Amino acid sequence: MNVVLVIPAFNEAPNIGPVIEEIRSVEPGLEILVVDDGSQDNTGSVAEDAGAKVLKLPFNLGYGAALQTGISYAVETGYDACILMDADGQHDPRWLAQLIQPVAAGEADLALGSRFLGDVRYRLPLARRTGIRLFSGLASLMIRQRITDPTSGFQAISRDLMKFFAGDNYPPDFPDADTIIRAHFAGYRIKEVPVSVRRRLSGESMHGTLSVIYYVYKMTLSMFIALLQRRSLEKGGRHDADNQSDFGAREPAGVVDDRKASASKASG
Amino acid sequence: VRQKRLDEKYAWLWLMAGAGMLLAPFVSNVVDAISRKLGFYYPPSFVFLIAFLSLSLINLQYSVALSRLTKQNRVLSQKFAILERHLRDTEPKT
Repeated sequence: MNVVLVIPAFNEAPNIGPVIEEIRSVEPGLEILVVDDGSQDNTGSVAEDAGAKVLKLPFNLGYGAALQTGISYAVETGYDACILMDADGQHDPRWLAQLIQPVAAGEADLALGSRFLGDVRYRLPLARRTGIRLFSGLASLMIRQRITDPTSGFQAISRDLMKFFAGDNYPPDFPDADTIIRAHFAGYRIKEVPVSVRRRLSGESMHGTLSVIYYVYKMTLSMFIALLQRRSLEKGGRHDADNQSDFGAREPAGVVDDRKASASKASG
Repeated sequence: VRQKRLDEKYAWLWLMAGAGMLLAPFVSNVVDAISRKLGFYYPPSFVFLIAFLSLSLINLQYSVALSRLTKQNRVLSQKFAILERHLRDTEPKT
């Protein structure tokens, strides 16, 4: 199975090097794709020096849009699955194998790394914990399946679902519980996998206290929007192949194929 | 419009708004009559209501346009990053 690891990074120059080195020491064969989300520091070149492929966005688009860029690239270049991971070192690469397992086995389209099924190595602030509990409750209720950690950014995605996300089904800011709900309504199978999450290596988390309040508001809203869009998602989902707007599909087929061939030549 | 700082699409909107404001004083008795008919105690408040509603509508229209532009911008820059990657992949390594 052809898997790529997608890491979105915004001003993570001090963290990205050690993160990539750790991944390479655990999973030496895994292709690493860093999406440099318009960083002002040298995140991109640090990642490249550490041996990752880098997609460089011209300016900061946000976490979700950066992930979507990586996913689109993975779809275009013909990967069978991708794993999403954060650049701050919170996600332990030793769990990568377990995370991809349900997707590789064809049991799930979305494998979520849950820190609550696994063990948490640090205490989350109260606001974060309350928020996560709220989303977890709402999401579990909406999709009728227990989701313990819907805010997890440590996920594995099947090619089918990658195509769905590369289209118009991925929020540009914080993909989260709403993304899971959308995927569920569109007919994709979701499974949680226990992982452990560590404290970030250095620097500030992207969620401050004030932004948590806005975040909770925004996420609750987008979860209900996802609920409202249920009908159209069911129609445009997994069982409706021609509705999956592949990122490259709008181009003449020949161009994409040529590029795919040359890209795999270059990587192989 | 002539200097292309404003799209013709938006120009008609401003023209209409300007014309409306210019004409309003000449038909003030009509406006008064309408607002009385509608049961407004103070006719100018009817005018304000209309102005407020049309401004809200214009604002909504702007939000929609802004969302569309943001999205187009996002897709464009994503494509750009991916194409740049492909370009570097196909280039002979120097």
